[in-house]
Amino acid sequence: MTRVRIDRLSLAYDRDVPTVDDVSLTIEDGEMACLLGPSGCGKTTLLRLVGGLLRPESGDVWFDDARMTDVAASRRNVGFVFQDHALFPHLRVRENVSFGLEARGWSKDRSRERVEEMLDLVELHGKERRFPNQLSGGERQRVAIARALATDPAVLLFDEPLSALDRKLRDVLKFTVQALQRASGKTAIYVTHDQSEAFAIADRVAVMHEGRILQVGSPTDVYLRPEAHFVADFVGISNRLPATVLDGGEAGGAVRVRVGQAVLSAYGAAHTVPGEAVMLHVRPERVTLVPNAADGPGDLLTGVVERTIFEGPTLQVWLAVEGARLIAEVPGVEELDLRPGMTVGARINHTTVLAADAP
Amino acid sequence: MSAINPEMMREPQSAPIRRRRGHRPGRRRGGLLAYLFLAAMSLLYVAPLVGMVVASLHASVRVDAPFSVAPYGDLIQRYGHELGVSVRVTVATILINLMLTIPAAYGLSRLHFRGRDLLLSALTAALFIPPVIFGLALLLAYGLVFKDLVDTLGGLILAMVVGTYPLMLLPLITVLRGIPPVYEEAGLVLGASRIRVFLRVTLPLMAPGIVAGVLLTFIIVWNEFLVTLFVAGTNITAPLLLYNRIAFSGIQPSTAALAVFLQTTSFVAIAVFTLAVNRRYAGRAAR
Amino acid sequence: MGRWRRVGAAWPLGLIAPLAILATALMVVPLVCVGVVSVTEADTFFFAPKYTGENYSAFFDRYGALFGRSFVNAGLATLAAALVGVPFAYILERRVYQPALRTALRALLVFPLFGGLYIAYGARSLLLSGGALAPVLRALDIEATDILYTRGLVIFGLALYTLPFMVLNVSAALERIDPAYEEAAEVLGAGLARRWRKVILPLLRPGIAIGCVICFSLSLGEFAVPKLVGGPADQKVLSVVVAERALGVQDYGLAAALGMALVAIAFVVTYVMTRLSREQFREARA
Repeated sequence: MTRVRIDRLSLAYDRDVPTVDDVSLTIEDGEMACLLGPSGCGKTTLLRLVGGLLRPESGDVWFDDARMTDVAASRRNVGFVFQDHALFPHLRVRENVSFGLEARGWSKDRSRERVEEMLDLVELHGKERRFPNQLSGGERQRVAIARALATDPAVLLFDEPLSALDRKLRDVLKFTVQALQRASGKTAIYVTHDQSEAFAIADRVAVMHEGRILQVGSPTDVYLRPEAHFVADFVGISNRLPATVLDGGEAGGAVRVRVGQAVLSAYGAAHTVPGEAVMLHVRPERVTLVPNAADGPGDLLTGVVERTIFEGPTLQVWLAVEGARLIAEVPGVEELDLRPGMTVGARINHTTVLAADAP
Repeated sequence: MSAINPEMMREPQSAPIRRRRGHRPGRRRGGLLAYLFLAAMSLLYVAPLVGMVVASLHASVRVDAPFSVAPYGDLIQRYGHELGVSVRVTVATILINLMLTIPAAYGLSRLHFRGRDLLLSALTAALFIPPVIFGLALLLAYGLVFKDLVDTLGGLILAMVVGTYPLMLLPLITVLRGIPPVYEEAGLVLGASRIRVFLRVTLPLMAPGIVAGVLLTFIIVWNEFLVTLFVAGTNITAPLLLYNRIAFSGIQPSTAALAVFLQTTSFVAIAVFTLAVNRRYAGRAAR
Repeated sequence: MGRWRRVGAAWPLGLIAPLAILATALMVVPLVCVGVVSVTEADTFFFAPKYTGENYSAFFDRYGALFGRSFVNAGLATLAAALVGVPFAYILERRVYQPALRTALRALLVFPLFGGLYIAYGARSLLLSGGALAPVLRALDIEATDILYTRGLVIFGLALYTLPFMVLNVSAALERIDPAYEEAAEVLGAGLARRWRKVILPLLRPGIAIGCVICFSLSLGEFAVPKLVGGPADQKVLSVVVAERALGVQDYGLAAALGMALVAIAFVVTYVMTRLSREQFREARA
């Protein structure tokens, strides 16, 4: 079992791949960490650096106490699941899975046994003789995982393994990946641009942007307590409301802020001082609407309905609040009979304070 | 040696724009005219072969000689030696081409270094040099510089190699460029050495290019007589003998039979290889 | 695809070196030999080479007409190949739907690949006495020699030989062009002529250009067709004269000087081809 330590890795000289800029991250033994970010943010580059498919310009990769920076990919003993599978098209399923075993000089019998074990594990028994193009997308993905697990690697690396599949299949297979990783107890790094995928399976999520990690934390932390505007915007819809700090404090504590007439209690993601102009991030589903808003101080914001969008399970309501737009996502509220131009009250159940000039 | 565009070996891996199956031929104005045009063109292209087949099926040179397949029966007896030389030269050229171009194609498409594109252009320039110039140049070079190669089978084979290797190199480079590097990376992270990855992953995936290159080399060398005319000396190949007979002895059934035989073998080679490649690689291409 | 780690500059060269050495020894050295021989007085190579421009002045004085004839032949053959080959490719790609028929038509185009020798020999065996067309000619009261051994047949043979190269290039270009453009033009009310002039030909231009360069260069270098179906005057073209000067009368100096002209043309062709392929590649990506 292995602890992966990424120590101040940088790669900028290679113009063909997105850069990685002084990134440090430790993935604990048996943990599943997700690198989440938009395309071009450097998440795949970072994964390839860990796997040995790229060489860093500076910094190191450690597996426990072994420095891997100068170790070739073929000697790192990692299991790599590629985007679009990368199953060898000229080899049968069995030969694909046993490829790494052959490279390690396993005997025919031993490797056949191992292949069967692996195919049982991913529930593909009986498909040994198929070629990759004779498999469905989901089956291919499971072969790719079996191939990566067969050599009993120290670390599992997933590079957007589900991005080639359709939505429904993705929703099933992400739990298959998670279950296989849990069962094997292996340390894993999983790269994706899909936040729901990351939230569903990761122990910890690292959000990347322009070659840097902006925030590392549990899915809940990243979603509800973003430490950067980019993180807040990338993982779902986020409303920004300008506010003024009433009584500030250290990062991680509660802060009281004023928005227009209303006074709210918020989570302070940054160190704040009284009177500072800050930005609030509000998740749409954390807003509840109240009819006939009362004037005056309190925790209720007053807004004017701009438009409503029926989305099936929920109703999206766009409000004009204090010169900003607040999007609320509320359960079907026919009794409110919302129409553009109406004034309603909005109560915010959870919000995060960020410095206005945070990344 | 011949300005063959690598485009002509249709690559199993290339993905042209998907054809719409919407419109039917019958509905088109001028459909009949189009088919008549195709028929006339087909006639033009079969005509020379038909002429040779008709000329070959006679018992003797005389115009009114009776029908006979004897000229074909006598092929080996009459031209066995020259056909033997042809087979040796063709096989040797293909093997040497493979040994030279597989590593070179790998280097030229997978590895990065300065001047790579320039080197590739220089290496393929031979495609546009007419065979008559190749023949003259090699005749002079063998006579003035490489005197050991004059009138040897080796000299003839090397002449064929230098004239045809671009036809092997280009399909290999095209096919290599079409193989995503991720397969080789997958091999590496699974613990295989670079050489093992090349032999187990890259080389098998290059098969369509290798087949195309072998086929093109075969077709050119098997039918080549002009460069041969300059450098062969006493090593007369079958096509060179054919040329000499045509140039100096007119139409004889046995000569015509040799011409038909050489063309038929070339055609069968193309048909067999194309079918084999289509069957094996259709649909299995990397996706 | 820069995902491969950069390796030291030495070993890729090791992979390419054998081929590069062979190409240098048997392509560069021989071409240099041609150049040197073309400016050296006959029989003085080995001991005290004397340099001379005589071979070049000779070919300008005595062989000027040779160039004219060679270029006109190749040009007319290319024109014919383009005029027939472009519609042929279009019909093959856009109007033939049965896969078997398409395969059969493509297979027919393979024959010229084997060389002009067979086309020349085929023409002879069709037309000479006892040939398959002899009775037809007799019935029409035409002498075989009115057709055979004429410049017209030389050009026809060259066109027949090079046409497949035109068709293959134009077909390849057509495959990259979405038929929707033509359908759009038709829906917008463009007739056949207008569609060709405004849509199809402009889109095919790079493919046709490449086809023409290849056809021209092949026709210029072709030996068997002019040699075997041309009359004595028609055989006075570059490729045939180079071979006969060298092999027939061992006048290597003059053969080399004429050859240098063909080498120069070959380099121009290579350059133009590279430019055209790049252009086509760019357009295909745009």
